[in-house]
Amino acid sequence: MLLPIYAAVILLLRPALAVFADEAWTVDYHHALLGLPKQSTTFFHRPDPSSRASLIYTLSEQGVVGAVNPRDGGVVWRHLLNSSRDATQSSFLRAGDAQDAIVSGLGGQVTAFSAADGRVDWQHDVPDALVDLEILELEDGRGTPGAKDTLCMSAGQHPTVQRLDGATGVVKWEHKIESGDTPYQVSASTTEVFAILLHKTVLGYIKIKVITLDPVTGRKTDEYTLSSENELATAETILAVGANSASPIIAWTDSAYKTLRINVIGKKAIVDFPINTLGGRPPQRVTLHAPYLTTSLAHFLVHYQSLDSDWAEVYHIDVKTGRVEKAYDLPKIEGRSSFSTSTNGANVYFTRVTKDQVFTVASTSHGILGRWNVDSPTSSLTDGTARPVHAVSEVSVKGESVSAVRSAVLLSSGEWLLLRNGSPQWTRPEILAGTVSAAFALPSEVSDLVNELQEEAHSNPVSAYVHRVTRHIGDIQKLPSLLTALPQRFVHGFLGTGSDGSDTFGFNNIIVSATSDGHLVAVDAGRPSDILWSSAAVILSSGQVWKVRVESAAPGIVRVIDDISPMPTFFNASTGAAIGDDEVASDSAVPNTAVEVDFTLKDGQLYGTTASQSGHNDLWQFGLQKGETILSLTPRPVNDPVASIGKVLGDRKVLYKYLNPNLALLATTYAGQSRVSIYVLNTVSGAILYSNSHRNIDLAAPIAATLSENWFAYSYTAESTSTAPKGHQLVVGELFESLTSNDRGLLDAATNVSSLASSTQPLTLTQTYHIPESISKMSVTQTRQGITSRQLLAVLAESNAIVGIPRGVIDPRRPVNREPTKDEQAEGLFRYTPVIDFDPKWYLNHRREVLGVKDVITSPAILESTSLVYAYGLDVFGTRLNPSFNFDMLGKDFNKFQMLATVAALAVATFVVAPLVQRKQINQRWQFT
Amino acid sequence: MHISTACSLVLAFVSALATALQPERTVDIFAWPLSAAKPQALSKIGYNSTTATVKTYKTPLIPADEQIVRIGFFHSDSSTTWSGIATSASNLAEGKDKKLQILLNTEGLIYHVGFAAYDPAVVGRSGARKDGLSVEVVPMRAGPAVHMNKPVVLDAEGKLADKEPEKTFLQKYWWAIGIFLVLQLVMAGSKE
Repeated sequence: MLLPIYAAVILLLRPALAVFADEAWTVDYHHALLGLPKQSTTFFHRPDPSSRASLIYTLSEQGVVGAVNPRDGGVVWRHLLNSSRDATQSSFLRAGDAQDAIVSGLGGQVTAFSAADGRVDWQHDVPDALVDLEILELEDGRGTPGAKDTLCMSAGQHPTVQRLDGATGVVKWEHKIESGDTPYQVSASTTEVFAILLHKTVLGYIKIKVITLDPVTGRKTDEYTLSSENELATAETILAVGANSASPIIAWTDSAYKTLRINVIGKKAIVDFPINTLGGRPPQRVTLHAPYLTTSLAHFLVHYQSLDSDWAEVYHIDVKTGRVEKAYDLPKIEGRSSFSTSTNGANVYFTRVTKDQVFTVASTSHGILGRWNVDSPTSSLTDGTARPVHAVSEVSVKGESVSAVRSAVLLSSGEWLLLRNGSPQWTRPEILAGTVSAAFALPSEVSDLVNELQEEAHSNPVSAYVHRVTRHIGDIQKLPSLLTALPQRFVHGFLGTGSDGSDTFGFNNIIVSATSDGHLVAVDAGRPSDILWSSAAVILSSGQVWKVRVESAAPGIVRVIDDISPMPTFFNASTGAAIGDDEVASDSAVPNTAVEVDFTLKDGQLYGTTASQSGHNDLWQFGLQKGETILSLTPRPVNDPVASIGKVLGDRKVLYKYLNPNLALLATTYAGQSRVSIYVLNTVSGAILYSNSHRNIDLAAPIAATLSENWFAYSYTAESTSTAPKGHQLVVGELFESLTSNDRGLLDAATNVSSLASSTQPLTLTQTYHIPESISKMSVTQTRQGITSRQLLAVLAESNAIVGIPRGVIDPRRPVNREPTKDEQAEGLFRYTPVIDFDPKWYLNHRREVLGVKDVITSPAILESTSLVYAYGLDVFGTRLNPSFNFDMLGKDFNKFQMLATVAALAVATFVVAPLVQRKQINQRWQFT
Repeated sequence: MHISTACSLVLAFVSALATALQPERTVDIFAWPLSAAKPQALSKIGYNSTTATVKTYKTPLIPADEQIVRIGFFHSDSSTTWSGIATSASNLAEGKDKKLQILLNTEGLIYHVGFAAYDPAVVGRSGARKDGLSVEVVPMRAGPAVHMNKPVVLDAEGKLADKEPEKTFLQKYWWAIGIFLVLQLVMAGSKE
């Protein structure tokens, strides 16, 4: 019965914080990303065989399988296949010809999707890591009509080849490879299935072994080894093993790229072709492009890449005799170009994308069927900053000529670009999907003014006056340009047509992200649709992942700390230019103190050090116990302004917060025990201010923690006990100097306190709540002065969402098992409820699906009411938050026309009425009644 | 009521007995001025899961210009790894009331130390002390749990079981009847 009353009280006290409908799609931005597409797992495919409309399918390096509409670049559907995102795992994506099915393979799992809408048809787990996956195109009477069967090959102790039913994923037959050879690939011609194995010889070389299997029974019918001499030292120089072509081939080269050797699978002969360098440098990379259809002509293209140029050769295979012969050459072109294969019926077309042109040739002759210039002055492809890495193409043929070609090109800048007849249609910033660390760069212009004002404040009056006059003279010089821009600003302001370039409110911060493949990418929060700049910051060897942290160093400058260079590197946030160490002004946020203490988490030990004459000395140590490992260490943010040192209670008394800039929250766990310990540390003295230990915790579930101001929060998943079921819980703790109002305990009236000398201990209030979902990462909003109330931002991995929980809801001082008193009500406290339901209004992403978010960062804007939020991981999502509403800014619903009309009407009325009033007053004086 | 009181008394006795029977552990606490090469023995503490006593205490020799002293203990399984904190050297001065905290983990073993010093006026003289050093045990708290609402108990018919029986008319309005009767008496008396 009391519930409606509570609800009413809650509604009265806590105005619902929500994303307003008119702001929902304008203040926030979102890139629904797939990740960097791979050449082998990207293709055009028609989900509906009866229609000519095709989609681009890809399985990215980040493990996302999805379909993109080639018309506008929008994602039709996508799935995150695994969250571990092991870059070394090989992945496969295949589509059966004229079928509404896509089969993906990643790790040890094969999944079939409906190509049109992405529904999962079936899943199959192979015993060990997947080595290869193919769709069996042949029709043998046993295949279910409509769904083609899948062949998969797995590695491990007992490598196997399996044939899976195309409709259900059930294993039709299984062939175990007992010879001890390494499985390499599986391939199929129209009549046979081939398993390609690598046999290691005594001398350490590799010989290619081919096992022929009966496609109906899976029994071995033949086996032979190719005499690859001694030139195959590693499997890396095997270029390709064709599959599903009319005549599949194996091609490899020697490690020096002198000869190309080709074997038509099923035949024992090997054909050698010397590699012609065309008078230039020898190739560094050789790739093979062949059609993926049994009905296509058995033609293929070999693409040679040298350091500075590209060329290609086209070969034909005589299917009956197995003869391979070279048909023609494609000329050498300076700069990087990419080749792609497309088919139309039996015909095969090769499309070449260079930095300024797109050509298409038929596989039968070298005559160019179509040629288009890449006609975009703004594209990073044409201005030379990026080069094509790989491409997939679709050609439409009219009669003898190619009428149109669409190519989805991955650029080295990480953008995925679609060229339709050479003109860019859309770009997708897929590089951002690999973001491992990001930071807001402080806007530089505003802080320049702040610095100048500070300089005036701190110098002697005369020089300050001179400085001020020179500053004003400089400002006057900007006046003409300001005046000319004024009318436009007025018009923009009235019509609400958005930005005129200036950033008065500080919403257009630049966000610099570091990606795992060694790139630095900047996005302007004011123009989030395109990338501001992108550069390769480090060169990584293949498979290496960049372990990096980006942080704001000074206004307009970011600092990059990685495991490659011992010293941090600096970059200009608006241009991406590297900056020398000496040009960076030291961060004024860190005050000078008598003793400087650094704390480090190294080799699983946490300790504080200080500089002294004899180098660095250990100041304190947090010795871990046996089996204890550190889960996370969260220090209080460096820039964490707090407006009030106390909490004003309902009776106008004050409860003093324990505000220590050197707090850190440490979470540890114990090997083999489902236990988590939480410690709040003073990082200067190493003292433990608060500690607790939770039992029965599911350590496989995420444990998130954050610390801000004088409070901390963490969440975990508790295992079921005899009294409670398994559930997710959120703990909030708040540190006070004393729990008596108007009393600071031992600190009394002290303004400055030393962490080392002071003996004050904070008092901690905690409260635990059940939450409906586990939180994978937590963060807290930041505003310029800290006056605005805060929100706890929580990433919900399971529902692909981010919620902002208002601070008042998780206040540990909410009264438990009783109604709040008058004073508590006046303070805004309401009765404790054991469950916090995530209000739909708290969801920052409203109707967007934010997939794979790993972290959320926040930054203050110039307006006190606003905090900027940026989430990254796979998708990129950013928004502006007003935890206490837009108290310092007019909302969109403010009608400027109405206001002006009212003022104008009043002015008119004044002018009309004034003479009348004056006449009346004069008449009053002169007329006597 | 009486039974529960008795039970709690028995329980308190049993737990006190258990505490008393616990094996006492000892730990050597060292003081280590920042500039010194080696730590000095500061104190020997005997403790169990609830109480601790100062067995020995030696005033550390701290150079006059030293500002920071580390206080800690060596792990029992290793002679080089230690846990400890840093504190101001002035906190170890003669006149101060020093309080050493022994932080215990869930197994009742020491995992960290804390140190506080007060001017003698601030705290009253109490605790297990020796020459100005007192010791306090800080056990590991259990993590805060959710305060659940009281469960709704239903009887066999699916109705709320503990519904209070309706009060009779007399129980509800005895006071009104009482007033009426008193009034009657008073009125009757005044008439006479």
